[in-house]
Amino acid sequence: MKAFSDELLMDKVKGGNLKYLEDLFDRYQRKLYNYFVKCTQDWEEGNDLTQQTFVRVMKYRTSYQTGKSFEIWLFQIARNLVRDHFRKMKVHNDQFDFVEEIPDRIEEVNDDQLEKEQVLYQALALMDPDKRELLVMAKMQGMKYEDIAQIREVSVGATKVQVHRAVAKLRDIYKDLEAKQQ
Amino acid sequence: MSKYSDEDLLEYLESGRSDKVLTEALEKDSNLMQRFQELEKVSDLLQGSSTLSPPKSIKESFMMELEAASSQPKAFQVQWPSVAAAVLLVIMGYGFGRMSQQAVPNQEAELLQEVSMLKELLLASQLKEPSASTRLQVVNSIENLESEPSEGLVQVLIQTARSDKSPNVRYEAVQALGDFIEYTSVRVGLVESLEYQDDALIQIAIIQLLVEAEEKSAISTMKKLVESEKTSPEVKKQAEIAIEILI
Repeated sequence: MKAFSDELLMDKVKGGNLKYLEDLFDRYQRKLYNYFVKCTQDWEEGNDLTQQTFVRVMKYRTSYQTGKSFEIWLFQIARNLVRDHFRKMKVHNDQFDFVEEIPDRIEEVNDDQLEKEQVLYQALALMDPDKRELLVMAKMQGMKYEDIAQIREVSVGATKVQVHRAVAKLRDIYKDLEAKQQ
Repeated sequence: MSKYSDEDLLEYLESGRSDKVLTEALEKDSNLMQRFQELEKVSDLLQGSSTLSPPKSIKESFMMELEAASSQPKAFQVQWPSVAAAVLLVIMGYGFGRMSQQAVPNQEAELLQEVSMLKELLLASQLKEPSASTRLQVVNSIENLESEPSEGLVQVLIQTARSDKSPNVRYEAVQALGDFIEYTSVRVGLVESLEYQDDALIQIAIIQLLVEAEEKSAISTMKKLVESEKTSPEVKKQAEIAIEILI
């Protein structure tokens, strides 16, 4: 039998049945964790922020609007946490200390892929956090432009343009890094 | 300089290279092709980047938060069913102690049965309490009864599942009835109840219980749900799957 939808479960959480939060947590913890780690480039922070997001879902459950997409609401909360993180840390690009050891991966990765990913993460670390977030959502997590637009409260057209510009910017940084390493 | 911007090239890439004019331009212009390939390379790298596995400690910490939050309101609420049951047991215990001086074994058994009946009566009457949270606690108490509830109490539970004002109470009652699904009266009650439910979560919970119990008499009610315009798409889908399994 198909599982209950996110929205039905969240509606129950809103009504006080907190036990359904565990199901929602199981469904989204990997996606959120990847979003946080890749946006903040900080593995430890990824742990805390994933947990904090669900603590906020629990705390502000009554503000969830029945019938609205749970995922979009969840990522709006997550996005606020990322913004708070950068505000708090006052992180500048040159403060990113690239971590050599990336957390465990779900899939097996060969050495060549690993090397390319290291450069990719270095390039991402040099990008503006807002542009990096767009790339994480649109390309790394495969979210639809329509959903990203709703989460960021901008038009779909503007989202698409911003993502394309971010890809072009990443291309430039990646090319430079690759050239330096050769 | 080519008339095509990076954005044009990315649009082309995302649309599955459907622009024939641009395809031709790429074939003719090596610089344009190089730009396109560079963009394609980073796009592929981003899309193919590995998924990271969250450490188990995240869930463990969250579950602790969840447990703390779940137990908080209860800490400040008086557990009326428990209090009432305790008071009742004290009174009965006192009576039993006094009478046991003369009682013979079969009288003891009768007394214990009476205590159990009184406890059930108390629980049944508390299901009429105005507070939904109290009714919810009562349903949980019935679910956790050490002895098997009487047919009368099961009927009260069926009635609660069918018509309690609060969907949360109805949902818990349905879940509690799942423990007694082997009773024909419970299965019949759940089939009847399905017709009256308007909450999708409850409808799905009942459908799942009836499928697990292989209750074929539920098919016609499920068909009505599928045909009804009021039924949510998710419930319709669940009912359709259930009908396929039960037929």
